Order: sequence, then C-alpha cells, then structure tokens
Amino acid sequence: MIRYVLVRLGNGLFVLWAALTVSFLVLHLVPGDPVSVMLRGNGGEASSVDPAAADALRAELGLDRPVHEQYLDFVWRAARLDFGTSFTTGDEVRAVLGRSLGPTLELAAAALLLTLVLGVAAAVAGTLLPKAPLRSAVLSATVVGNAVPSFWTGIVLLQVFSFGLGWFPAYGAGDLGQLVLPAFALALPGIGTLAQVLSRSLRTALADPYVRTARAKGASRLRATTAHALRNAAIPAMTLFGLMVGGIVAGAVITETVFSRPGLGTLTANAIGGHDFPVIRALVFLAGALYVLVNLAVDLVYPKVDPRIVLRAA
Amino acid sequence: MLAVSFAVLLTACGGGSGGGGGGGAATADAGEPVDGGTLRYAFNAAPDCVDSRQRPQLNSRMIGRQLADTLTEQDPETGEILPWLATSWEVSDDVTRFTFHLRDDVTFSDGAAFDAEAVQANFDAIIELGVQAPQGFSFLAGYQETVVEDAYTATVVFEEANAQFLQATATQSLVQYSPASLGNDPADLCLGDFAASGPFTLDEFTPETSVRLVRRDDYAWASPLAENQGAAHVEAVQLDAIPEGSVRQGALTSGQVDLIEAVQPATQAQLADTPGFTVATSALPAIAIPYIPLPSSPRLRDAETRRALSLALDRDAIVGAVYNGVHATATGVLTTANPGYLDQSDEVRYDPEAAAGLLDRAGWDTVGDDGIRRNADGERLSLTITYESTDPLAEQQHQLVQQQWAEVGIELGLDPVATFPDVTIDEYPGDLTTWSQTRGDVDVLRLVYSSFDPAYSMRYGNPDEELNELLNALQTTVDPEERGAIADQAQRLIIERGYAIPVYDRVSAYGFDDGVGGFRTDLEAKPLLNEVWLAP
Repeated sequence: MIRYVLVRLGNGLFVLWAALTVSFLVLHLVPGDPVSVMLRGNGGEASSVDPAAADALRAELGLDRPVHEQYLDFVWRAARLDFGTSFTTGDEVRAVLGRSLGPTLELAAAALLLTLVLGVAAAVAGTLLPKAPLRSAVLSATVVGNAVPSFWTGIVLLQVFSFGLGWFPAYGAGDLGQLVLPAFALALPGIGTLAQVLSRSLRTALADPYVRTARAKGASRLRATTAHALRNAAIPAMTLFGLMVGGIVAGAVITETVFSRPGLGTLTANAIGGHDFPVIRALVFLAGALYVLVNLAVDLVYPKVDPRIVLRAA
Repeated sequence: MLAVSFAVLLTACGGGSGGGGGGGAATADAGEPVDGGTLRYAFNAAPDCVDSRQRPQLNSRMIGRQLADTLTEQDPETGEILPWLATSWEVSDDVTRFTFHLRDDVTFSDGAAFDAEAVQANFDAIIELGVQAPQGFSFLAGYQETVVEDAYTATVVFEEANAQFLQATATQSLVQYSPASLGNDPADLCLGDFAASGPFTLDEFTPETSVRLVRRDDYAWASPLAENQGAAHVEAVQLDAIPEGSVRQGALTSGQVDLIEAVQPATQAQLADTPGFTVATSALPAIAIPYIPLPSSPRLRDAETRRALSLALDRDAIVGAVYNGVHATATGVLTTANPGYLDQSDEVRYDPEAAAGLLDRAGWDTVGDDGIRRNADGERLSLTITYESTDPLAEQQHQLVQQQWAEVGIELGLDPVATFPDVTIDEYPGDLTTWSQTRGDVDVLRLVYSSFDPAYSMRYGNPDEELNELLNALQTTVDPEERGAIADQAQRLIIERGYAIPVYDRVSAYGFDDGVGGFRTDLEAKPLLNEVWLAP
C-alpha cells in the first residue's frame, strides 16, 4: 500500500514536470510577448512598440537570456515552489495565487458538492421513480444541463435570479449569496454527466442476481438500490468525479468571468491575456498538482468501496 | 482660429411606461448635492496598477485622477490649460524653460507639504523610472533639470523646445506624489503604496478585481473643473470589475451598482430608454480612428490612390451597422473632442464617383473580369490589412470596408493575426493599418503623422519633410492661437496627401442611476468622483 502510494506520487511528479515543460515551451512558441503587451495601451490604442524600450524591459525581466537557461532556472525554482514575480504587477506570484485561491476553492467545493448531491439524486430518481415517463424526464433534464454551455447558463441564471428576482448579487465573492449562482452554473454540466453514467451502471447492477436475492429477502426497491447496487455502480462514477475536479478548474475560467468573481479562473484569463509567464506557469503547476492528488485520492478510495479491488504498484 | 468641440451629455429619460415597478422616474439629480454614502461603480476592466505614471491605460489613469492631482488641468470644452496645483506659469521664449508658481496650501495624504522641491522630486522620479513610466518619460524627452527657485516656484528646464510639455502636466502620466513615496519599489507603487494630494485615498486594492477609495476630509484644492471645491460628497467609492457588458448593465438596472462605464453599443439605446437611468456619452480626444496607408505599400505610393480610398468609404454605414450609431462619423484628422480639431467634412466624405475618377487618373483605369482595377502593367489594385483578431467589431468594420471598396474596384484582403510582430512602423506588414492614439493636445498629430518615433509615427523611415517641419513647429510654439493655425495646416496636408483615412470618432458611454447626481467628466472622459453625490 505504501509502496503503491510512493510509486503513484513518483508518477505524479513526472506528470507535473511534463506539464510544466510543455507549458514553458508553448508559452515561448505562441506569438507575442509580455513586453509588448506591457508597453501597449489597451482598448486598441497604439499597437506598436519602440524596440529599444522593449529590449530594456526585456533585459529587466530576464527574458533576454537564452531559452534553455531560462528553462533550467525555472525548473530549479519551481522545485522549491518559487515562481518568481508577476510580469504585469511585479508582485510575488505566490502572493497573487494566495489572493485568488480562496474564492476559487470556495466555488469549486460548492460546485462539487452540488454535483455530487444532485447527480446522485438524479441518477437514483431516474432509476427508481415509479413511472417510465417520470424517469426519462429526470434523465432528459440532466442531459439538457450537460448540453447547455456554461456561459449561457450563467447569463440566464443572472437574468432570472439576480436582475429579475433580485435574490442573489450578480458579481463579487465573499459571502454565501454570491456563491449560489456561480456554483450552480459551474455544477450543471457535471450533474448531467454524473447522473447519466451513474444511472446506467445502476441499471446494470440492479439486473444482477444479488439484487434479486436482496429483494427476495424482503429489501425494498429503494433499499436494494441504495444499500446494495449503488456501491457497486459507484466505481465508474468515482473515476468520472476525479476527472471532473480538473474540469471544474477549467470551468472556473468561464464561470468566474461571467460572475465577475476574483479567483484562479479570472487570474488565468488575465495572465494569458497579459502573457504573464510566471503566473501562468504557477497556475499550470497548481492545476497539475491538484489533478494528480485528486486522482490518487480517488484510486485509494476504490478498495474501500469495492473490497474486490486490490491496489498494486504497476 | 482654434476650433473646439465638447463632450455631449446625452440625457435620456424614457417616456411613457407609467406605473412600472420600483421607484419610477426619480428626479434626484435636480436636487442639491448631498454628502455621504458609498458610490458603487462597475469597471469594464479593473486596473492591474493604480500608479498612473506606470500605465498608459485609461483605467489606471481614471484611478490616478482620484488619488492624485496635477500641476495643470484642461478645460474639456475648449482644451485650454487651466491652473490647478500651479496657479500660474511662464514659458521662456525658446520654449525650453517652464516656470510654475505653486499653491502653498496643498498637503499630501502623508502630511507632507506640496512645494517646489516636491515638483522637482516628481519629475526626477519619472526620469528614474524611465520606460517604466512610458508616457511621462516621453513627455519629458530632453529633460535637463528642475530648478527650485523658491519654496513655491519651480522651473523645469529642457535641452530643446518642448511646447507639448505644458499640456502633459495636465495628464495623469505626470501626477504629483509625496516625495517620501517616490523612492518606493515600482511594484509596490503599482499596488498603491504612495501618498498624494487627491480627493480620495486608496483604502483597498485587489489588482484586476476591485478598488476602494475613501475621501480625504481636509481636501480643499479641487480641480477648477469641479463645482465642489471641498471634500468629496461621497464618503467612499467601491469600484468592482464586471467584465461582461450585459452583466454590467444588468447590475446597474437591478440596483446593484450606481454607475457603470463602457455601456455596450448594442445595448446603449435600451438603457437610455429605461426609466430611471441616464446614459452620458462623450467623444474621446484623440486622432479619429483611421485607416492609415503604409508608406511601404507599393500600390499606395501616390496621393490620388490614397485619397480615393477615403472617398470610397461610407462612414455613416460603418458607424450605423458596426457600431450601432454609438460612435460618431469622423469629420477630420482629429476627433471633435480634441483641442485643435479642424472640421474637414468637405474632404472627409463619401463620394464613390469622385473616388473612381481619382483611381482612373492614378492609372488604375482598367477593370478586370473580377471587378478589380488594374494599371498599365496589369497589376491588380489589391490591398491587405493585417490586424489583431481580438476585437470582433474592428473585424466587422474591415469586412464592411471590403465590400465598400470592392464597389469601386479595390480589393481588400483581410489578414487576421493573433498578435502583431514587434517591429517598427516602417516594417509593418500589409498595405494599411488602423491606429488610435489619445492625447488632449494637437501634439498627437506630431506623434502619429511625423517620422520621429519608431513606435508611434506612421511615417517613420519615410519622412515628408514639409509635414515634419510643420509638426516640429508645434514643439516651439506655445501661443494657443498660433499652435492652432499650424495644426490646421498640418491637418489639411494630412488629408490632402491621403496620409490618413479617418473613419470614426470613438465615444465612451457611462450609464447611471438617476439617484446619482453631479456626474461630470474631464477631457479624457474620466469621471470626477469628488463631484458625484448620491440622493438619499
């Protein structure tokens, strides 16, 4: 078990290194550089840069050094969790991330909780409701949630619940009211996916002989489903849930923009717009680390749910 | 003569719809100013830096205006330079020495007094910042020193004539900070680690997210534009970024904010028709957004072809179809809001027949099967514009122009790119480019249409000596009337030689609740937040 975790962590480090290397290369390959973005006005103002001024600034930021030197320096610093200072504000990247992390964690946690509760509820309802039209209505509704782009969902939620009914504020972060709409907008696609996958594996599990045995021994349909079948049906949904954590971080870029929330999503959008390399790299590192850890956690939970699964280092 | 224009205040109070929900048609702004309350303002994009010396972006300058004051102010209607922290000034005959007589009752928010030594320290600090203060540094080109004549008199000395400097002292690129702050790290200055003499101080700042300003109770030296010469009416201003235009407008109409910037062209009419809300628009002082024929283009070598491009342009159709009638049709090289604007609507007009005549004369007299003109060598009149594809409206504009020019036999190819290459103007790709440059002074003509600056001057590497001479004369002439006359000549020459094809005047639009009173903007359409009050 310990050996398994160690090997997985080793793999995780490799994934992180690969993500950082790819992002480093991509940032250096895409056209445009942070210096011209810094020297240009925005809003379509003069869009040319005095090369002399650009060179001076580039030297100050260390961008005039050979690429391999910049790369080695970057990896060495990243290994010590030092991501340098932001190009655009000159602020320390760790401080920048620290400011944005809280609101995004709040949002992600709320969205994942909603996904889990509503996704499982919809799957169970879609399997157990007494009438077929009701069951398919529930499952169709989740498909709609899955199919609608979250940008549009966000705008509609705002129109109805913020501008129309005035129940929730339209922007900002900090209190519970500001969390409700963005969390729903972010959770909606995941609820659909989770409900679809879980209801399918539930149906399969419910056809298994052990369910018939349980029913024969007097268990109600609900009990047979929740106490027996759900556990067996949960494995694919758990894998999916692990993947969703990564998706939530990506979804936050759009959701946070629509709801004007400060956080890692808006930070990502702004950093990419401003070619703020140090911030982008730190964000890639953070997202990569999160992904590795969550998937490891999911794998570690498998045997607890289904004792037939044995973890073995590959 | 100095032609002049102004910000238009478009007050729209929706008619009809009696007995609608909520407060109905409030007439709060007719009342007397009220003190107190927190004004809630929604940014389009919040600044990443509140040190307006380090950022040319309008959002940084907007905050800079609330936190700090400048030596002079500019009348938004006439462009005249007005006294502010400097009560008067003299300029030497050779336009190299500017002597400012300063107010003696101004203090910075850290308690330090504003005096001649502070002015000296501030200009020296811009030189120290160098390219990190891009605009201020260029305004101070040729800076020698600032001489402290006495406690409240300072003389700024340049190596050569620098007439544009006077207007530059009215910009947020040259705001005055407490000398004790000037040595701070530029990154910390960006985050607001400075004391200045403005009507507000910075309470909280989260880059790209929000700004909170609180008023300075002992403020008593407001800009001459302000009716309120004392402390700001509101106790605090909370400014939050709401980047989505529709969400920003929704937040306003649902009462979650009081004032928004950048009302979107597509929804501006809707807001103006909503009872209880006002849209205030003003043209920005700048060059009218033009197409500029690049001097390097082989097919645009002669003036007649270039002028034909201008005559073949239906500006009203562009403004109507692409910008929902929100921006204004260009009528000259400068926008109507720019000091020194010259009405050139006789030349800057839509006349496809005249365009065809000019093209015939220029040798593009054969029309091929594809409808495109050719010259005697069989060369097609095919042009390309390379542009950053980040702005969908600009792209729609190019597409419409493509159709308009095709009608007179000119082909326009669109070449969208993700980011422009870092090149000087003379190496710019394509045959044409668009441009924009803001400056509340005719000096903007010198910057854009001379050959002096590798990054900003469209004729860099391809000088027009006659035009350069006129534009240089702007630098040695201080008298507003004489400057205006020179600028008029330059503007005529620029149109006559087809160096600019003006398209539209950019207009900015604010929307606010009728409970907001005293809304007023400066020459660059930045709001004066110390003027604003909230009806109880």
